[in-house]
Amino acid sequence: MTQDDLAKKVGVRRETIVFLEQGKYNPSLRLAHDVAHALHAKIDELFIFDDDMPEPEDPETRVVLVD
Amino acid sequence: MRETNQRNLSRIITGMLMGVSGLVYVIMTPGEMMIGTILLVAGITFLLSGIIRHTKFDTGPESDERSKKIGAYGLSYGWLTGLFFMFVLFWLDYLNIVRLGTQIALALSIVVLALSARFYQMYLFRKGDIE
Repeated sequence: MTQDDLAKKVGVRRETIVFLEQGKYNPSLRLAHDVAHALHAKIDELFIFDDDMPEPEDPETRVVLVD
Repeated sequence: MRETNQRNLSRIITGMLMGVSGLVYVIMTPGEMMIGTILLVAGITFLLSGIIRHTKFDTGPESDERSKKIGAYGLSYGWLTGLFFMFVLFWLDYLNIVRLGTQIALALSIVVLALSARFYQMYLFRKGDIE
């Protein structure tokens, strides 16, 4: 799939896909989801963020999203 | 995509109509140049903008989340630059260092606001994102 095809599929300009590939643009969650969906992949397989956030020391402060 | 083409087509038609009316106005009223010139310049601007947008964005959307974000940030930075410029202008005037008339001060502020916003947008577009 070309950059142009992907851009058309997710409804953005081709330059946005170019900057996404270069890691210079942080997409919205919606766009990340759409790109992942278009490429039949998971978001965390495509977008890797540097984990510079410290883990909470107290386990009780962790937010439980799913039981 | 059809929406983009429709918008560009209306830009081109509006530009042509304004340009022709401006030209006719200039020819029909030899003494009065102002209204005709304004119509002509606005018409040419519309026409060029429609043609350029049509050739540049014909195969995709004119704006997306990145361009909207950068556009908004560019305007915000431009506004801050304008505020700083007016602040400096005020103190220069207050301290009698530079004395500008209202008309020139306003014209300069308009130019600084418009150009700085455009400059920030161009810089951010080249950079890729606002961060």
